[in-house]
Amino acid sequence: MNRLEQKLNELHSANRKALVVFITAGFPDMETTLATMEALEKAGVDVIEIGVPFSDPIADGPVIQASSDAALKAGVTLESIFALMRRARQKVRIPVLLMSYCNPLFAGGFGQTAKKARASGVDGFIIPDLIPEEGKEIKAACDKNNLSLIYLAAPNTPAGRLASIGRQSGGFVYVVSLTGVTGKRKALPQDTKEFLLRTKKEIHRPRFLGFGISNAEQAGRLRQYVDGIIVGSAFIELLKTAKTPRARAAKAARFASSLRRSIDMEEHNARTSKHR
Amino acid sequence: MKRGYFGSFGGQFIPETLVTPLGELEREFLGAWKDASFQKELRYYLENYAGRPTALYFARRLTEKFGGPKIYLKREDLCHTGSHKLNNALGQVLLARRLGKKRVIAETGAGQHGVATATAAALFGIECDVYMGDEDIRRQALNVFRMQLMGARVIPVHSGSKTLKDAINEALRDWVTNVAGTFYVIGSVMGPYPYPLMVRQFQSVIGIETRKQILKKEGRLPSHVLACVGGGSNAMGMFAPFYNDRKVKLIGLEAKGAATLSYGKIGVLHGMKTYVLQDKHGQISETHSISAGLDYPGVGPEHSFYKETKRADYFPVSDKEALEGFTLLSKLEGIIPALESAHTIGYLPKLAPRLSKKDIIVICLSGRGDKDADSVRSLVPVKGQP
Repeated sequence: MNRLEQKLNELHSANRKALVVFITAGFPDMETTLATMEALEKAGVDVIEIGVPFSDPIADGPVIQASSDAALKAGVTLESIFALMRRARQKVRIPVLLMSYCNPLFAGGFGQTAKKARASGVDGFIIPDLIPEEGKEIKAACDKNNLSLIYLAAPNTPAGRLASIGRQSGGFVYVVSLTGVTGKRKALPQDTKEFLLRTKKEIHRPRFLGFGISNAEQAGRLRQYVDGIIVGSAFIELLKTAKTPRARAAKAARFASSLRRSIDMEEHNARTSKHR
Repeated sequence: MKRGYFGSFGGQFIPETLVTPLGELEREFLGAWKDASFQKELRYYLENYAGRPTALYFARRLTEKFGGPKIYLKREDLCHTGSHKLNNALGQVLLARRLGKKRVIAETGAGQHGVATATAAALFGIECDVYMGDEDIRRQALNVFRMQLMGARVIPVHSGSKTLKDAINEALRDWVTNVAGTFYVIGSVMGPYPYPLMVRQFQSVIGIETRKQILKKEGRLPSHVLACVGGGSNAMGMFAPFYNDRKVKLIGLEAKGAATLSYGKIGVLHGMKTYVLQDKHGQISETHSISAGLDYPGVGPEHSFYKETKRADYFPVSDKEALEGFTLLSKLEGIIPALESAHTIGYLPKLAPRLSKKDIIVICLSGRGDKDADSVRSLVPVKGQP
C-alpha cells in the first residue's frame, strides 16, 4: 500500500472529503514549490499534485500554460523534480502525485521514469493525455513500482465507460468537471450535478473533482457530490502575488485553510445534527 | 495490428473528453466511406468544384536540364484554392454536415489548409474558425485575407513558437471545450486515430489518379515517387496507392530545420505516437523552416511506419535547396511551386544524376507558390527588379 492508498483509507474511515492541491513544479522557483508543499500539508491538504512542465500542454488553460512555460525557461526537468521530491520527503508525509503529459515521462523510457519516481517519494501519476486503452504498459510499470496510475473521467464519458475507468484507475478517479481546459470559471455547467450523480452510480472508487474550481464557496457547494476537490490554477495565480518563497507558501497555506474549512463544513454540520 | 495503429505508431493519446467524439467520428467516417451516396457526393464536388482529376504533366525542360530520368509533375497546385488540401477539407466538411455540426475549426501553418477549410465551410454555409500562429500570420498574409474574405475567423496564436504546432494546441483546446457542436477539421495525416486514416483516405485520390495517369502515358509505373513531408498528407495521399508496388521507390522530403523523420525520436505529440523532434527531457523542439507548411516537429504516424519498415525513405532538404527548386521550376516550366513543394524540386540535383533515362520520377507538386511570393521576394534575385 502506498501513501495514496493509505490516505484514501484514512479519509474513508473518518468519513472526510479530500482536499487536493495542484502546483506547477518550479513555479516560480523550486524553493517556492518546496516551501509550499510543506505549508500545504500543515494547512490540512490531503494530496499534492506536482505539475511537470511541458512545452505543449493541450489540456491546460492560460494560467497553467504560463506557469509551465516559466518553469521550463527556469530549467525545470523531470530529474530536477525528482531531486525536489527527495528533499521534500524529509518533511512532507502526505501523498504526492506527478501530473504530466505523456512525452516527458516517455523520453527516458517509462520503466526508468517509474523507478526513479518511486525512489524519490512519488506515489503516482495523473496523465491528462493517457486513456486506459493506451495505458497498459504504463500501468504495468506503475504496479511494479507500487505507484498509482489515476485515470480521468469527463462529462461526456458514457455510463459503461465510467464504470470501466473506475475499475482501471488506481486509487481515485479524477473527475473533470467540464468539457474544456484547466482554469477558473465563473460558473460550472448547469448539468454538473446530474453528471456527478452519474459518476457516483457508476464509479465504485473515490471520485475527486477538478477543473474550474477556484474558491471556497464553489468547493463547499460541490463537496456533497464527490469524495474530494482538486484546485490548481487558483493556487498558481496566488503564487504570483508574493515575492519570496516563504511569503508565497504562506499565502497558499491561508487559501488552502479556507478551502479546507468549506470542505469540512458539512461533516461538522452532520456531526452536530446527529448529536441533537 | 492494434486498433488505430500503423505498426507501433498512431493510437489515441488524448484527454478523456475527446474519446466520445473520436468514436463518433470513426463510426461516421467508416460508415460514410462505404456509403455510395457519400462517395457520389464527394466525387461530385471533387470533379465539379475542386477541378479533379488534376493533370499529370511531363516536365520536358526540367527533364532536359538533368538529362536523365523522365520527370512528371502531379499538378495538385491546379486544385481549387491552390493546393491538395481541399481534397481533405471537402471530405471532412461533408462529414461534419452528416454529423449535424454547425461549426468547424481548423489549424493552419502555411494557410493552405485554413483556406481549404474556409472554402468548404463557405460552400456549405458552416461557421469556420481557423487557428494560426502569429509568425505564420505574418509570413502568409495573403492566405489570412483569403480566409477572411470567405467569412472565416482567423484566430492568432501567441503561444510557444507561434507556428503550426501551437495552432494545433489551440485548436485541440477549442475542440475539448466546444466538443458537442464543433467538428475539428485536421489538415494532415496526424493527430489521434481516426484522423491519420481518414485524411489519408481523402488524399489517396492523388495517388490513385497518378497511378492511372502514368500507366496510360508510359505503360508502366514510375521508378520514384517524391513528395514533401510536414505532417505528411500530400505524401501519404500519393504514397499509399503505391504501397503494394514494391518496385516503386517512395521518397519523402522534409525541411532540414524540421526534419522529424530524419532527426527525431519516437514520442507522443498531438494525440499520436510517432517520430517527434524533442530534447532529451521530452520537451518538443521549436522548428525553423522557410516553409510554414513544413514547420512542424511531428509527423503523421503512418510515415513513421513507412520509415520503420523501410517502405519509404525520408531526406532533409535545406532552405537554400528549396529556394533553388522554387526558382528552377518557375524559370524552366513556368510553374511557381509552393515553398513546401519546392523541397521536392530542391532534391532533384541529388537524385536525378544517379538515375538513368529509363527511370521515371513522379513529383507531387502539392501547391502553388503565389502565397510565398512576398516572403521569397527578398531572398531570390530577379532580373529587372527596381
